[in-house]
Amino acid sequence: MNDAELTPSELLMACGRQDQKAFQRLYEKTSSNLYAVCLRILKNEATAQECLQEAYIKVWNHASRYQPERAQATTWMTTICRNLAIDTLRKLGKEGARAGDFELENLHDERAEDVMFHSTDARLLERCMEELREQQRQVVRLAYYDGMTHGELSAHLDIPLGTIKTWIRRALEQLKLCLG
Amino acid sequence: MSGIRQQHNDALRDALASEYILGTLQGKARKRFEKILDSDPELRLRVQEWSHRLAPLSSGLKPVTPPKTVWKRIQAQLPQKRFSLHSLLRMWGNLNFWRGLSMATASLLVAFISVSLLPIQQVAKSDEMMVVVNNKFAQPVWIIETSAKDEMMKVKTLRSVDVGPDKACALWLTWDDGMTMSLGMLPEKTGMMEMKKPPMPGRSLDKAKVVVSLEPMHDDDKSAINGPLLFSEKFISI
Repeated sequence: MNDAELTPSELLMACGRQDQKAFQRLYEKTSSNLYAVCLRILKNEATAQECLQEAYIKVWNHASRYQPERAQATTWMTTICRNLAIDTLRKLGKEGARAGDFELENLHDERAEDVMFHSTDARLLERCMEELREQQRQVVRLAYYDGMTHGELSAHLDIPLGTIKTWIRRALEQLKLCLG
Repeated sequence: MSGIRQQHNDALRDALASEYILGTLQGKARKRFEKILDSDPELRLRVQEWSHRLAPLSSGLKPVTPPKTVWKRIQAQLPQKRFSLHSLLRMWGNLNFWRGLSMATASLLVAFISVSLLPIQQVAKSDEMMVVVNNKFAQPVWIIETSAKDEMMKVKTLRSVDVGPDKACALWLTWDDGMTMSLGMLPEKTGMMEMKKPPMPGRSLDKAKVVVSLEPMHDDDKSAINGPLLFSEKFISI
């Protein structure tokens, strides 16, 4: 079987054996999704590219620790990518991270509800999100896609901090119940 | 009583895991949580479950193809491939290896004879090369790419630069024998631009150092580096 036919999980495991060709195939298969995640959070092309670069180096260095029975490769890689993007956002400050790319906000401002959901998991999550109250759904999306903290959500929506925390906690409990 | 405490503890652990994945667990609390994660497999499992639950939110985003330079930069950071003793021994005993070697030797001989008849410029390396210029915080600021055959150098500015009024970052190539060539002033705003390489007869790019210095904005002296050095590194082949 050649690399083109391998799944991201198989490619990631090959990376754990220091297979650079498999790493390149993995990058070709997954980088556009992970770049979208970096861009969505950081909203600056240069910072998002650095984040993507750092994420793939981390993927390469930690690939031997990946356990396919615990998570899908794409989920594992997305978590690495999101954590780095959120850390970058905090380290540089929102304005620092996002300076200079104001038009990007419009280019990539596609909310999850605007795009097609393909997998069964994704359709189920979308249905569960629809069952949340409008405010709960909004805070979950702002936190997930924009990396907003409780305090930032409170300021952004002009809602008391305690209320924001309650909305998020209840939203996540409800999602867990709905997703089973 | 202990059952209630356990239940409360469970709920709290789950809430922390969920907010860690959502991204709302921040600052010192996030760092403390990550430290606990290192030694708490049950908590790691909860985090993995939440990661799996919320992952489809990311898959809902429209894919965006990153520029090719990102992969080149990643590739430059990977360890260089080396032959292990084991693989060499395995090749030694392999018939195909010897067949390949004899064919390669014959091809090499033909190539050597042909190349010997060509002018020197045509056998110069055409490998692409790049260098990443970092700032003092080790953050990449410029990516400079070129090849021996290109007349231009591509300069990508990843972050805006402010070196103060009437100052600019000058780009140079220097060689060990003291030869210095000015390439001009580096851009200060993010974006892509091309800079013309001066003619460099008999000079090899892979022997050159890429140097950045801080110079007066309208400095007319292009023959020598006068300002403080900010960066000095050789190109890497890609």
